[in-house]
Amino acid sequence: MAFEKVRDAMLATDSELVVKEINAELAKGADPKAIFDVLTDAMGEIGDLFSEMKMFLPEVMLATEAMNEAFAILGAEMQKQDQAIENLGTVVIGTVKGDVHTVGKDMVTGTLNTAGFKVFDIGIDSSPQDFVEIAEREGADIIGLSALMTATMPSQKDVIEFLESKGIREKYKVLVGGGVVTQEWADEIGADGYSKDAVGAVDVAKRLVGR
Amino acid sequence: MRMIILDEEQRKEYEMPEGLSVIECLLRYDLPVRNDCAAKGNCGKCRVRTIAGNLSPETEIEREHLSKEELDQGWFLACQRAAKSDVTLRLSYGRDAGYRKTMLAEKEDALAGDPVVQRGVFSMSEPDLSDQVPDWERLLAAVGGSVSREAIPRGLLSALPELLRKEDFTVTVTTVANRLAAVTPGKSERRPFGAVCDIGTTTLAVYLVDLATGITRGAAAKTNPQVSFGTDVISRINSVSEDFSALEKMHGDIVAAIAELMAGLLEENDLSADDLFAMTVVGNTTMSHLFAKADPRRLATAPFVFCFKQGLTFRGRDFPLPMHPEGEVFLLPNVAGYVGSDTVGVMLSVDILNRSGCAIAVDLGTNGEIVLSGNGRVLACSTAAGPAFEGAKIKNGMRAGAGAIEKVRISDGEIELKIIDEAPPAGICGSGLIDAAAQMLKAGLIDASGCLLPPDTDFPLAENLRRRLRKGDQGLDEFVLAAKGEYGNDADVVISQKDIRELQLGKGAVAAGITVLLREMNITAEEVDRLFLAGAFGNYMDVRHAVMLGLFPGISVEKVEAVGNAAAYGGRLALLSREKRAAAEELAEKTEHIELSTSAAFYDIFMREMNFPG
Repeated sequence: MAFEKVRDAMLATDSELVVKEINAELAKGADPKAIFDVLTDAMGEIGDLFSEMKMFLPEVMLATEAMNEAFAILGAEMQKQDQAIENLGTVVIGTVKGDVHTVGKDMVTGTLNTAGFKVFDIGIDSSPQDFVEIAEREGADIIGLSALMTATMPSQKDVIEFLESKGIREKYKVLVGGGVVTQEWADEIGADGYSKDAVGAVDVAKRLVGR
Repeated sequence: MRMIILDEEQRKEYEMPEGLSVIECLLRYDLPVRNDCAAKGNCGKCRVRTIAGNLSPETEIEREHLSKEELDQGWFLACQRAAKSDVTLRLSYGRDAGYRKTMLAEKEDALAGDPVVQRGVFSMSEPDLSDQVPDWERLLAAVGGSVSREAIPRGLLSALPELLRKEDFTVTVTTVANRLAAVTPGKSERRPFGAVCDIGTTTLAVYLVDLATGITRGAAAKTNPQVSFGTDVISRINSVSEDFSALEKMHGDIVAAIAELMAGLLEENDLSADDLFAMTVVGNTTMSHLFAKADPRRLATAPFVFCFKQGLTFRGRDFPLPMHPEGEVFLLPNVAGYVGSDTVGVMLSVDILNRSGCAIAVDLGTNGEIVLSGNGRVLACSTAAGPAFEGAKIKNGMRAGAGAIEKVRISDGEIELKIIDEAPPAGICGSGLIDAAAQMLKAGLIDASGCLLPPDTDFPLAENLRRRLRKGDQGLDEFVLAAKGEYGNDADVVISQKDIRELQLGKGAVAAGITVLLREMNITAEEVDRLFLAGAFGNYMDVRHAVMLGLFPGISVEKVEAVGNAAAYGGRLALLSREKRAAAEELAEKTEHIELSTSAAFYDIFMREMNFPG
């Protein structure tokens, strides 16, 4: 298999080794886009291992960090060669009003980023106005709403209602998640997508932008 | 001969008559010991551990109930042995969750010097034309001290002249704090009593305390009736958000449950409601709000500004409780939205204000509250310890009741289980899960990242362990701890890969909470000289295994001390001593709350601490 060492380093979630192997391959004149594709596949494998629970959050976080570092190197290299980095879509993500939990949102930010989305993280305790302002400014495709407590789930609904009140609901796909959020809740408030974890969020986001 | 009982931090000595079995001595001094079979040797519940001294020889009955390892460690059955010299013993307690909660607060100690409730007999000179001092003033002069002139018990003045004259101006007076609460004619032999009420989200426990001696006379527990509004605090708060009348209902439910337990305890001890003069209440901040009928709604969402923090004082007549109407109900103060008066109770109980050096106190439940004291500061945080420690969200998880696997040993490929009440295993409780995970880690069945070996592993394993590895539901790997029929059980009991992950979330959160507090105080784990582990679960957990799993990073086993239901114990201190009550207020003011959900460091440390020490 091509770039096996890069892939293995990624599966070992060892960012230093990933960077080292990428640089070695680039020095040999390898195509950065081809390396990037191998890393993307490795991330997919990590996602599968995560759903079987053979890997867990710390490894996904490390993998995401490694992917970000790889992305920086490969992106710069691709630009030098006038190759475009494909942007799958633009996402505005945040934790909703009244909620200050960051872990889940940060994980999703990481996995979407490394999957090729351009992600704007607007932080915690964010009002509907905050979400919409940034989404409009950045021309977002997706708005991601994180809520970790049953007490703050209604704030996800508030964002959807705010979009409706502004008459711009159809401009965005709304993705919801968080420890207590379920598919039923997502359906009830009319969200476009739900995922129970950060790895699954990538598939849902891709589906929402038609990829 | 002397019998020395070690109970958490206390050391008490008792005279032990020759010829009595150990259980007879324990029962004679009203010490907590299970005696389900009336010392016949059938139940195996009266287990006690010898720390020092000689006992009569081991019996066949003991070998039936205790493992070789336990016997070697000094465990024995109190009904089977008599002492042959002075002995030092450590007591073990009962089993089921309610019993766990109630027995663990039993910690006899000397009555503090400044009791809240005092009772005394006072005689006054009879009035005559040269001494026309009115009755109330005459009584106050006799009682003296700092008794308030303003707070006259309701209805007293209509009865006072008769009360004083009935036994020739000799009366028994009960005061509560600085307030005169009751006057009865003559010299009363009755002693004032008090109650401690520990309102857990799941279990409510009430203790009856003799205020003259400080000794706990009884304890009772039941499920918190508010569970019908949800099992966790957030769903109870949500109930109020959805329908404000839920506040009134939940308040009424908890007061009624306390009244029921109190009435039972009074009856068992031949006491009446008028004998009960004080009650202290501890609970998490939400439970405190519901007890005080305070609006809890803003506890659930950021910025978590709640209704009140300080300790609250009520009269007995403010609640439909079986206690004296002039008695006092004191609700201990809270620290923050998720660090409540139960944590203040824990802090009181380990006297964290007056300790030298650095100490940590951890109260483990669905939420883990963590306190760090040192360098003149007290820091506290609360972390979602998750459901793992209480057996929820665990595939075969259950509460610590009959049939729960509570201890696990794996050595030389063999598995040894200890099951509560020696029933066929029905599931695993929190302490069993900790044991199982630690032993599996040691045996190489899971690695430091928490990954369980797959069934087709080429890792060298004993056949008995290898055949227990399999793929379970949803393609998740699992390890069969007790196969169907192996111990008379009618279904497999397994540890699944997901169970290990739940445990990692819980232990990662607690370990990260500890680490964040240490950083905030700018000290290292080595500088901590004690870690107090509060809560029933902490008392049953094998500390060596918890340390092996990295629950308390950087803290060695010798520093960890289980202190039982320290929240209720703190409530008892506040019941008995005005000084402790003042200390509770001081603690609530002084303790700095560290909000973990917005701590930048928490996320990284939490991720790191989810791994097991490798």
